[in-house]
Amino acid sequence: MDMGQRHLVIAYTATILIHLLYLGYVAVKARGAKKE
Amino acid sequence: MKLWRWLWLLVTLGVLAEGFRVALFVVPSDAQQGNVARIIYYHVPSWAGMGLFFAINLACSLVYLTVRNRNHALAMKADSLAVASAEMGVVFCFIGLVTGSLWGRAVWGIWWTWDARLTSTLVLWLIYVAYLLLRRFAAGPQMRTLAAVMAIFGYLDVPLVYMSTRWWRTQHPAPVFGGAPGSGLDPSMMPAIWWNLAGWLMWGVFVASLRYASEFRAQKAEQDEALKSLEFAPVPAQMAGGR
Repeated sequence: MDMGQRHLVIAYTATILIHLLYLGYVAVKARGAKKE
Repeated sequence: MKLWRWLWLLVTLGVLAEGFRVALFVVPSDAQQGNVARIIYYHVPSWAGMGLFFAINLACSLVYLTVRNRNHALAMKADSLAVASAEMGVVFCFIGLVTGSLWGRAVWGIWWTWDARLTSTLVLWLIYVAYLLLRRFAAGPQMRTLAAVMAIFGYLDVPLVYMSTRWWRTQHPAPVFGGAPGSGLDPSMMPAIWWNLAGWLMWGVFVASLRYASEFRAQKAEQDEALKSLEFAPVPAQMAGGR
């Protein structure tokens, strides 16, 4: 795997992970708002 | 979660999966850069998402400032949507910066350069992070008004980011979309752009709608609490008609 392919894999993985991380934050916020 | 959200999520995941498949396995690789140029299929939708959600944030901030003293329910909705869209825009902007940096390292040999496009984008990200920090840590009734004003001034950087590659000579390439005659991607690559653009924007709408719902619920609970405390507050003797 050359540098280009490696960076492509990292970019796609990072995009998906960041979105999932934010989704987790939103889910925690939603749970907190429901408890209130 | 409501039924329409589940359906929306299902369709979104389908579109994203198809976008992933088309981007990696269907469209041809770039003649000069090879496979690394496929980053564009996640890079461009991130900027489109950022543009969309910061524009929504601007519209909601304007609505909030206009109606905050006249229509409290609408103001609360606008303010809740402003928070949700700002957060979503910050996420998309951050992904755009990360994917751009990874692409730049492979193609230019550097992770970062202080050219007009990259610098103005970083400043834009910082402005909206500051907006969210203001909302998080400022207290008092003026916080929402201050945040709305800040959002309006912050949005002024968006056209600057968009025009930076047209106005100045930058390391970042000239506009690929809507640029000079002859610019643009090869038509064979466009399906990957469209699928991923649709998929990521749909994802953004899904997550922002969840965030909006929880923010609105929290603000409503806060308001109800305030009203309840007024209701049970001891009435001063003079106001109650006593001596």
